[in-house]
Amino acid sequence: MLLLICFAVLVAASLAVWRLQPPADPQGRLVLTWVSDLNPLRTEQAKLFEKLHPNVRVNVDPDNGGVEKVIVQSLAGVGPDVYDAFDTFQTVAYVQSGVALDVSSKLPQEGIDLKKEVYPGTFNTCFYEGKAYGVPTNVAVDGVWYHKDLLKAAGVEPPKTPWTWDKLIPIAQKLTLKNPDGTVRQYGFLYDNWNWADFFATFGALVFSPDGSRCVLDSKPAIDAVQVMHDLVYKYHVSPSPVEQSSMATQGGFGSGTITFFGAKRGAMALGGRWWLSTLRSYKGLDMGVLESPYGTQRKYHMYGRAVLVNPSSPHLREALEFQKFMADPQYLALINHQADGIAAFERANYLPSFEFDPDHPDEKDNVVWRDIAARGIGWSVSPYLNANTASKLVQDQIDLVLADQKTAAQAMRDASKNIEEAMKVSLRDDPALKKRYEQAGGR
Amino acid sequence: MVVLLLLFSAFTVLPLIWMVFTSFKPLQEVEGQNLLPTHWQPENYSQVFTSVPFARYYMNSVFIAAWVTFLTCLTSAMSAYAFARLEWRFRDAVFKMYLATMMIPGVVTMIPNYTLMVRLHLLDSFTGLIVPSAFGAFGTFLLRQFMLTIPTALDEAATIDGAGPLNVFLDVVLPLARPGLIALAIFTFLGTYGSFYWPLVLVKSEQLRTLPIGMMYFDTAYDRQTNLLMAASLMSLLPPIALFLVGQKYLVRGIALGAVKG
Amino acid sequence: MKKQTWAAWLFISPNLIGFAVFTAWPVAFSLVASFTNWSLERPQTSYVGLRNYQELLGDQKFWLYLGNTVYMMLGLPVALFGSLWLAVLLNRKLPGIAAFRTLLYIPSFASGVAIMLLWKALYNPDYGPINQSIRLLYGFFHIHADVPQWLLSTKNLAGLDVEKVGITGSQFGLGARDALNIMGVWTAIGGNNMLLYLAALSNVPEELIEAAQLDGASKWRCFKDVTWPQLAPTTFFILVMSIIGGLQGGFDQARVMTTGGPSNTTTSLAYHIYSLAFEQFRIGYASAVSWVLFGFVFLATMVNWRFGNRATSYV
Repeated sequence: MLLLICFAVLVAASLAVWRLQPPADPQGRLVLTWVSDLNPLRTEQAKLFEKLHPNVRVNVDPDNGGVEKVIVQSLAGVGPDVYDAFDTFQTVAYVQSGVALDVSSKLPQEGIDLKKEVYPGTFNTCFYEGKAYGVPTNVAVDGVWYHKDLLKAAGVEPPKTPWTWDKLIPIAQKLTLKNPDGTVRQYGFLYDNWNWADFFATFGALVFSPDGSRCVLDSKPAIDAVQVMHDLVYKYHVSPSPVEQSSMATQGGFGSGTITFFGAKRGAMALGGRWWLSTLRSYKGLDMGVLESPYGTQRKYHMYGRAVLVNPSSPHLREALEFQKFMADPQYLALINHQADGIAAFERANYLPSFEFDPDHPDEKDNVVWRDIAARGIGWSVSPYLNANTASKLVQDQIDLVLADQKTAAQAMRDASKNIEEAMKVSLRDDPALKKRYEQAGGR
Repeated sequence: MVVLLLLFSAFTVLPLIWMVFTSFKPLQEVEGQNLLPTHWQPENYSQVFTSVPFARYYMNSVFIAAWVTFLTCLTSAMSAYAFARLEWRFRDAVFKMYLATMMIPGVVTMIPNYTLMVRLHLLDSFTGLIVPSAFGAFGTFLLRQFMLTIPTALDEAATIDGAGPLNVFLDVVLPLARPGLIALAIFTFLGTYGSFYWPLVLVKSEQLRTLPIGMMYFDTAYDRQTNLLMAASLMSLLPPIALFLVGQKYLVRGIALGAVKG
Repeated sequence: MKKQTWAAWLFISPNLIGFAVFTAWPVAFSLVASFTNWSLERPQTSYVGLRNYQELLGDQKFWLYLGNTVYMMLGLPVALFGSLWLAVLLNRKLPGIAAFRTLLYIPSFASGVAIMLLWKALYNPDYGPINQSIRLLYGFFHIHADVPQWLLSTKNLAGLDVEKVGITGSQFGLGARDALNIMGVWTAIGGNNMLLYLAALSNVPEELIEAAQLDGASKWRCFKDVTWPQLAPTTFFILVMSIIGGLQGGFDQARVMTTGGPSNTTTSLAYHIYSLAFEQFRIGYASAVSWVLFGFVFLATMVNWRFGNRATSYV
């Protein structure tokens, strides 16, 4: 009967699959599982580690960008050996769910002193409540990319830095070109809706007070920052609105695609990081420069990046810690800089001549600019009393309304502040221990 | 009518046509306004195999989907028969429970499911990818409804002739339920084939990854190679399409009611 | 009767055992979790009784997302009857009919990403063919109105407001939710439901239809009084699965096409639950929302229970 035939086929197939399975590692090496995102650069980075540690094979296991995989696996006790945390949000999540190893005592033994060697802007991705958990893999700070040929064609001199947002506006206006039918052919300045942290940093705007107990969004710096974002689109018309952005691309979700717009020369200037090069390098014939970002009231810029954390229940703790230590290895730092995977998190690597001029990419003359911007990087403003993702989303929601011209900046920040305070109340209510700390810290 | 069908079909084929043309384009043409590539790049197809271990992922996906389909059809047919044709005390209550479990979003059951896999040592294994998916309520529900549409006349005739429930099942109901079984097989295969989250969380080693996870490599935030993704997708569609073409013939079968009268 | 019970349990056991272990247990676990404040961010979990449920019922966002979810199911009846109509059309042994059936089933095969990208391009407010056609029509009839902004717009046919639960005039129009509805109908119409109806139609005894026709009934009455009742169990299945799918769905579209926007208007409850669980780490609360969702679905299902339960029998 058909049934038996099917069954026989399946059993045969199972046996075949069984036989065909290669052993975990053909060379019998120890396998270290590293969960990271799907960046093709990871393979090279993994191979470098294997070269330096021939007894280990690194299995790069992708998650899909979220924390599900690591947390679900780790809660069941079988997580990866090492994994990446993207920004402080994820670090906090991992630490609080108990899947991150406290390496505060181990790092000095390895000769790593994070507080001295890495950029301060990345501290809250590595530390939590004074303890060290992660070693940064790289950092990024956004600057302004520009097309030299487009500026020349518009008769505009490359702007002198430092410059304020006010100074940007007339330049961007000269660089915004329209088609005969009124639609815009080239925008003066491109940025993404999630770049609000960048604008905030330049105005000294914070989401939370330094001790995290209050939301301070409803304040002049934040409102000014959001106002600039709004005016670039609706008052000066130098940046695309969400509608216009979406019209320009078939791919990507709401607000993404700025890199490809810029690469396709739909914008003369764009706010972005050095890691854009991994896409931009594959465009031929671009002649680009980089400038320090405009500022509002202070020359400070938003820094973001990844850190690698160790799973405390890993059966290969020694190798896992070696992997973490590898993040400070000069060869790794040079690789990061060479790949343009952001820039190295350890400051010293960025002052080497090999960083300033890379013979493989001779036309990239602005590495010094990136280094100088990074020195001015500051991290996210977070609170221990509210999940960072929740807070971030609440802010983003309001900013999106402003960018859709449905709310004023002032109203949006007021509403965001209210929403965050409410969310914080819920978060505190759920956790009595946290609530006690909050009250001791002086919160209401 | 035919004209309407043609029009409608033309409309539904659009994404497939787009997929085909995109799979031959070089990367910079993907977002272009032109539908047809100006520069045909069949190397995209071979590049899919060299970028990732596509052949292995392919094999894994087909293997897993085949097993799940087989197990699902088998066990669901049996339990559906029990719900549709047999009389027993807790029948309706148990069935409602089956229904109820389908109404809980998979997100919140992921963690307990995963913990279960760990306890049963089914992590990172084919068994873990196959077995949990084979026992959902969907198949039972579908086949039960389908069996309800089969007239009971034949059952009764067979019972009068002295057949027990097993014989009625094997000789009467099962053959008549074939269209439903085919439909279930197609759905289950397609569903397992395309499942993403469960393999993502369960699998750690490279050699167990399935197609949807493999195709993720072509669609990352850093490197959206939509052309390769379309090539990979088209190639991955071959087994389900084959199954469909073979099976759809059996979806439409008349009942020879002459068997009752004669 | 006793003999049947024994047989019944025998038949059901393979499926039931697997079901109990892999399906029922995790579900029961989530029910227990919904009464706790389990969060991935906190090692200690404690029982909080009904507090999660109270919170979600008072949360504006919950009702907004529920509204979104229900709204995005508006295409359901269209899809259901569309599938039925297609199945009736394709239910004949003509040469080449296989080609039609395959073509219509293709959206179910095609990569979800491909479909979403395609529809994003179609819905493009400036260059997309849909709006181009609308502009042509407007021009033809001399209508002076803005073309719909589709995926970028928070507008909708019911005028649902964006941040509060309610209806306002400013939000009338065609927006993201409508775009997704249309796309949903298109995807579903030739798909699984059509197959199911095809299969079910083959079980409708020809004799009955012939008898009705001999009695002078029109094609429509034949369908209404003979075929449709025979299809009742299948219709019940499709209805329940569509409701489940609708209430649990909208997840892929939200993630790939709109990331839940604009301004959370395409965030369905399923997406919200995902976000609660894996972005905000509040698993206990997410479980509670899931169970409320379950309540709605179960209710809707039980209302239709009698309808779908009739076995086919005739004299």
